[in-house]
Amino acid sequence: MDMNRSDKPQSSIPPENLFHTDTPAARIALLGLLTALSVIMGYIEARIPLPLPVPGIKLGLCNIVIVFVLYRFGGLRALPVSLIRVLVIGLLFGTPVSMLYSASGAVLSLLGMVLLRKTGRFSVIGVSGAGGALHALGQILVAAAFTGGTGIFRYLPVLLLAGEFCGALIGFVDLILLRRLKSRRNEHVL
Amino acid sequence: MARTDSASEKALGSRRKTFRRADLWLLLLIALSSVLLFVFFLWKDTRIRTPVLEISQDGQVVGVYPLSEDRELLIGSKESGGYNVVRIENGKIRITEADCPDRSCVRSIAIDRRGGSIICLPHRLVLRIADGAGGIPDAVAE
Repeated sequence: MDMNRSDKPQSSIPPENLFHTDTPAARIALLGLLTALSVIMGYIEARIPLPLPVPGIKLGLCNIVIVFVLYRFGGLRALPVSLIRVLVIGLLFGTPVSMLYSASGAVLSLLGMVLLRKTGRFSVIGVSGAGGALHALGQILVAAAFTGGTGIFRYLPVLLLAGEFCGALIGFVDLILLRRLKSRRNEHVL
Repeated sequence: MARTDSASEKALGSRRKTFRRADLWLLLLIALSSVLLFVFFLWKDTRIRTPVLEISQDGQVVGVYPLSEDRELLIGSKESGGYNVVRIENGKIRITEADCPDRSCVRSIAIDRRGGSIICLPHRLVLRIADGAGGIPDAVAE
């Protein structure tokens, strides 16, 4: 991972180094901190269940962190953060089955977001919105495999829309975050 | 790693534009496909001639019931845990009681002959309106 660290120009800080994470230890510590933050967001969300007639709709606050890590550290680092978050939140507030739904949603959504981001055509809002929809799709696919039926796909339209909307909202939050954390020259503080 | 860096530089460089036209198209495309899916399901429901309630668990049909008779069904057992109470009343189907962790099946909107489904994910239970054209409703599996 650190293969071309030495031949990077010193004058400009590479985007993933904005947090002064040029040593593996510092990076691991920061990513651990961010993982914990996303778990806390999951906790907050678990405390306020939405009284909706359709299962599986959540704002997905913890994805603020995942999208942030994706943009600052790349998909390779966002994947473990996302999976550890799914594992911990699942163990604390969910069931093994709900963990499986979340994991498949998280992986599919991250994969899609990595690819969409690589095209360079979309802003955080678009990438995150599509990620939210893909999250719903991943969950539904596993749920369909579990219930062994097509009945579940009836929920797909509303879940796709909800996921897209929440994802776009989260992308907007991340846009602000990514800007704020760049403009304040605190790279060496955090 | 170098590819990721160039990707993030690309993304950072274009951050001045908050919301781009490409974003709008992407989001509209997803929204449109969900609307199309929704319409497809509505269309499928109109094809149902003799609506019956089909209950399946773990992917297997455990019972088919007519909508005309009011009844209350217990799926699973209250003693060993993992139960749902399904009520058919005036042609409307609801889950009135369940011991699943999220209870979203109880909150679900009632379904009737026009189609739809109620799902209890933790119990892997699916209630859906199916076409009982084969004359199944009388031979109820109980």
